[in-house]
Amino acid sequence: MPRSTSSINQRILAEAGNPGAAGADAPAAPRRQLLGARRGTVLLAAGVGVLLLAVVTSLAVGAHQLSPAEVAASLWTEITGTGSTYADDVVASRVPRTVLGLVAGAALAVAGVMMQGLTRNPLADPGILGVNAGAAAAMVTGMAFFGLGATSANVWVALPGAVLTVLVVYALASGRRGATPVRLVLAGTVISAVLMSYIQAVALTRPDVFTMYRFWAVGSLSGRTMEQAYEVLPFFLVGLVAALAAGRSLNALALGEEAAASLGLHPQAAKIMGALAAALLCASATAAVGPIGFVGLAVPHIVRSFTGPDHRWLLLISAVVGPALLLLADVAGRLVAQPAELLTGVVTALLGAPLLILAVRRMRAVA
Amino acid sequence: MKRAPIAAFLAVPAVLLALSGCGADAGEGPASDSSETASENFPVTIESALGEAVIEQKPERVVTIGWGSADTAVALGTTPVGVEEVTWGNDEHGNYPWVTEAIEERGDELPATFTGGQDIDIDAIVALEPDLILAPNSGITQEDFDVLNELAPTVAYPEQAWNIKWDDQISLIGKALGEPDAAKDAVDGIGQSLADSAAEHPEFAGKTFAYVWGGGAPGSLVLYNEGDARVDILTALGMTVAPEVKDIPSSEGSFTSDLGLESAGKLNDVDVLFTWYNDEAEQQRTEEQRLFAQIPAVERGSVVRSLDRQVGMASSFLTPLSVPWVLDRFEPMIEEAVAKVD
Repeated sequence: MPRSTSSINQRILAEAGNPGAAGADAPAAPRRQLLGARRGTVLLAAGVGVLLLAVVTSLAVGAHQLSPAEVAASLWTEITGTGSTYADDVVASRVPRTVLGLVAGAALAVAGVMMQGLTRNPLADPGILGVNAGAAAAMVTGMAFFGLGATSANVWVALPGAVLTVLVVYALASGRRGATPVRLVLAGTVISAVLMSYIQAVALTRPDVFTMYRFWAVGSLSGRTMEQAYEVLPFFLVGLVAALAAGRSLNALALGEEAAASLGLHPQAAKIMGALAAALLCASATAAVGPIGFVGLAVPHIVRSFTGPDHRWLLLISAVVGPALLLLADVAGRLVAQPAELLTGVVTALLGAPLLILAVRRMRAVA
Repeated sequence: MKRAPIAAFLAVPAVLLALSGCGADAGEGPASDSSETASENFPVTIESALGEAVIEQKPERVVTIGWGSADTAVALGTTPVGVEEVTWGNDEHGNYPWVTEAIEERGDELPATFTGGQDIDIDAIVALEPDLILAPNSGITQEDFDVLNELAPTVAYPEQAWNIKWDDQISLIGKALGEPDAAKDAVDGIGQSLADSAAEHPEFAGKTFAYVWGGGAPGSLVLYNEGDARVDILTALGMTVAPEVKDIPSSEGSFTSDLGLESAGKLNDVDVLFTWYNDEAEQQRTEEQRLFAQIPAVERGSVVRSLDRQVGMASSFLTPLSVPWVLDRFEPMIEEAVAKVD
């Protein structure tokens, strides 16, 4: 995205410690101005509101119709561990998918912001640095050669695969002049292609691996367990904190590496840290629910159309909008094809596309 | 880059799902003096969805592709010279054990195997010099068919890949081999042995069932419907498809439908739940889903689980060789599950 000198100056001012002054008293200002604290807080509150609504919907709405009172009663029996009617089981089965939706949605959206910021490529998403392919390749290797099942200890395998892949991509992209956005994207694409061929080769020659991989590679919130959420939670939290803390660095990097360096940042170190945080987040999400597309790509754009380019707000608000989108997509998947279910990953694409188009149009209108 | 492998992966389970049967009855055996009468039955033309096969005279070198055709050919008196290698539920010869047993009993040489699936080893088939290729229950493409039919008359599926009724398949193969009467006897024989089993097990009568597979997409079950051989075999044993399950329409072009586990309530009144698994890991991840575990049939243990792939496969087929082989093994499993219904 083109950035004018004035916006750079404003951003530097804002970085200097007065974020409130930039936009709070100028609601009609162009969007490339930094977001003020008040407006940012309002947007964040709105995002949290949507997220709460999505959580309630995810617990209450599905193929099996229940009244809010029944849902509440079922949640209570679940907490107290008394009784177990079919309705209780239905509601209980929605708890892990809601929790996983929160984790995976936030992870993918935040990772998407990180990827787009680090590569300065608006089309970047968690797939672009080879993260998904790396996680999947590690899973397949574990299944084929180390007797790994599809349910247990995913994250311990997926995660090193993802992180290692990001490092390899980064090393490949870093020539003498450092990793440029284009080189990063190229290296990521090449490595992903190589890994996907490897996955295909292993999975197709080993039918047993193939069935396990296929089950895992279906991006879906359903049919997973709380254990899968618990397993990825620590990694997700570390990644999330690291990512949210990277807002300032991303803002500085957006000015170009020299400007960033002049602000006292080590661009290479910031990039590697950022990429690792993103890898951690994507790998957590992918290990827990399989690859889910579009959330990482679309959510940052949707949010950016409201917040403008300040990465601190962008990260924070994406972390609440991402899960909201994912949960609503999951609910839609339960409803539209009854008695079958549409896979969450399929719905995110269907739901994300119009939202993305809307966001892009909005962006152009105010640019 | 995510989509391509997933699409490829979906193809194989589709193959696994589409099981159906073929065959003639081992017990009945082929008409002993069939070879003279058989010659009167040629030439014969068999139409299929992919084109027509013109068989000029009684075939001797038969090659089979897909499910159940080797069974029926053997049962009708022709041991194939080559069969598509079986990779699921196979024995050490790359074939189904009941087919191997029948061929060994007869003292014939075991057929050569060749790689099949989506990438059929055409060169291997050429080397077998076939004069008939049987693939009525298979997934061969138009392209495959055109090549194969040049080589030897090829019998493909009547309408859709992996989709033919078990008795139609037997009749079709009987026609291609010039043994229509033996084929009819085989179909009748299967019906008779199933009826005999039903008579021996009055407790099966009227028990409702559903046949599902949960190893595909997480949170979903594949539901086999009437017309699928594995459902047909159970109705022939006297059981009934549960009414709520019966009302779920099949997906386009298949004998199955998808059921999200949120709708598991449709399985509440099922007496016996039938299912199969690729392995224990698949069983574990299917059954640990709470909505699966709470299905009343699962809770009380009236479940028939085929973890033995050979039993799973044989109970998905209705062929003259598979039915007698599997009944001995399958009946006790059903007995045990039915005993837990009340």
